[in-house]
Amino acid sequence: MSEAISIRGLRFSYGLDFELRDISLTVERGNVTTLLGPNGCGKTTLLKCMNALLTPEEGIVQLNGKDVLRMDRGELARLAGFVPQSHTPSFPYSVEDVVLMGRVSCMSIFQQPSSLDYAKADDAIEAVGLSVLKDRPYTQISGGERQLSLIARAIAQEPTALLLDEPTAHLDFKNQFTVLQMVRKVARERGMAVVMSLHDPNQAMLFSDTVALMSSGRIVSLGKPEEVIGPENIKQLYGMDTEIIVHDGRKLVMPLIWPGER
Amino acid sequence: MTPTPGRLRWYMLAILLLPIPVFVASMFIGTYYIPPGVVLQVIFNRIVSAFSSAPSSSGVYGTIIFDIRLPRIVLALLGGIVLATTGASLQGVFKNPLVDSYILGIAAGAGFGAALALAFLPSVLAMSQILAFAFGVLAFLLTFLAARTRGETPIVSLVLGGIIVTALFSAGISLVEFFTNPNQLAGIVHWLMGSLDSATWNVILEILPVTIAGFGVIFLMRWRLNVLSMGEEEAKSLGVNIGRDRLIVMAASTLMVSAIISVTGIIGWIGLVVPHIVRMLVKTPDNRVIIPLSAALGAVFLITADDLARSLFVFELPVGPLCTIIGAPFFLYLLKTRGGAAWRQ
Repeated sequence: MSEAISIRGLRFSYGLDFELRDISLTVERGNVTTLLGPNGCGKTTLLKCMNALLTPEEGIVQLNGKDVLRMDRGELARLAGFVPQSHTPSFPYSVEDVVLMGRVSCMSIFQQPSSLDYAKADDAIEAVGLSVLKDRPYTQISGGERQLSLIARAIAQEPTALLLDEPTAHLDFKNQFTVLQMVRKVARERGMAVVMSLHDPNQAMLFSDTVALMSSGRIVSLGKPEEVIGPENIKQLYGMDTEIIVHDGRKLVMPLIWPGER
Repeated sequence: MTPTPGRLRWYMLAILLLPIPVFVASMFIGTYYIPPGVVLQVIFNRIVSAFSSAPSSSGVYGTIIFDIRLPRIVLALLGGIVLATTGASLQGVFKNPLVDSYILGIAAGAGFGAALALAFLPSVLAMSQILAFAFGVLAFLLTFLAARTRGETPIVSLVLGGIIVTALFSAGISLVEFFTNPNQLAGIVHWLMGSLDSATWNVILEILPVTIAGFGVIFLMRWRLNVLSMGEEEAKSLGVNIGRDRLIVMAASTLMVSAIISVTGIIGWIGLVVPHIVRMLVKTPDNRVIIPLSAALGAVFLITADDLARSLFVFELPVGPLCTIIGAPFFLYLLKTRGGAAWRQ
């Protein structure tokens, strides 16, 4: 069987300013791959190419062996769930109504959601632990809960791949970890191939099976988190001095910055 | 159907059934006074004769009630449903609460078509209706083509396209008015104000198929409208062919609105105010609730406004301005007491 996600020789550019090039990456089911890199390095662009929201100039993105550009939106949505950055929505739909929208790719244009669709939506809501909030307006819950409902919506799509664009952005300290733990659990339990972008090397270290370090539109290093994340690579990415600390067998990235000194 | 809280269902049923008593009550109202007892008797006789083979001979009262009042109420019913439904659906598709059925340039286009016919082809039967419909649809096509770039039609471009097309056709209306004589000018002004006085059974039969088809499409897409209202990229990644679906909503809306205003002239405000009232009442943006309730309340709104137009004075008022005069203060009241609750909670 082919890999859930396979990217080969991808190149994309927004005019002259920015270019994504030589991107090759494969992700298997049940695995979490994190894109790590500074702002503007191309993480979001890559995720959008993977979801055919952007069309690359060269190269190919395949889901389950099929080119994403040769699928219609419905077929693609049944293979890849996309979780956008947490945002303030325009309409106060209930959590359940939002998650239910994940079922649209399985319906014809004039179809209404059936009780089966409701069951799948409720199952996804339960999986992310939001059952008590399902009738609450999606505008009145916390940022973390909103991010979890968007993940539930992607689960309701029953895709092979889950793509998340900075799932921890705008979340408080605890919620960042709640969401990431949920992402990992979903990948394991539902056998989804997950690709997400993160800002924090420590979170990447804790929650990923594979890390792709990105810098100016290229993947500069790819591998297991503990192999890839180190002082030299961090220095190359962020121009910043760090030290790796081992505590209880866990590696942590500590920035070598002391307030008020130097 | 949706598992909704009980209170919501009670509201829904009450609003959905409201057009029936309003419709019946309106048969008793008119410029020409007929005692309520007589109205009842005429209606009763007509119903009885429909079930027996006896020829109906209800006389002048029968003609007033069944050939003047009834088609007019039916037109108000259709018009209210169409204007409120398109307002609600386009607000969802455009993610913008200030949108109504005229955002796409339809009103100005239809107005220009009617003005052309009334000024230069006054003797051709039903020409104003035909041209109003044709130019309403044409205006939408122009807006759509103006907004289309590289196979996509972004919302901002559609709004701008609508503004440009409206400006052009409005200038066209002004020019037609300038070149026409005072008699015909009065006709154009009357048309632009909006009125239901041209209602006949023939006219209703002409617009009925388009109205039913258009409303049917929007009604069937009521749940999908929720997904469309999440915005372009999100709808796409959920698996929606947003270009196609949005075009279908806009085309269905354009066709039925053009059909209605080709007969009534421009009746504004309903598409804006009715869906807002519904959103404030039911406190959910779910279009499976908003679309049917907007249709019902739109019908109630226009039938009532037309009742007032027919009965406030000894002469008849144009219903278009009246809709605004009733709707605006009521909307203001809701806005002040409930805030923008339906949009930002």
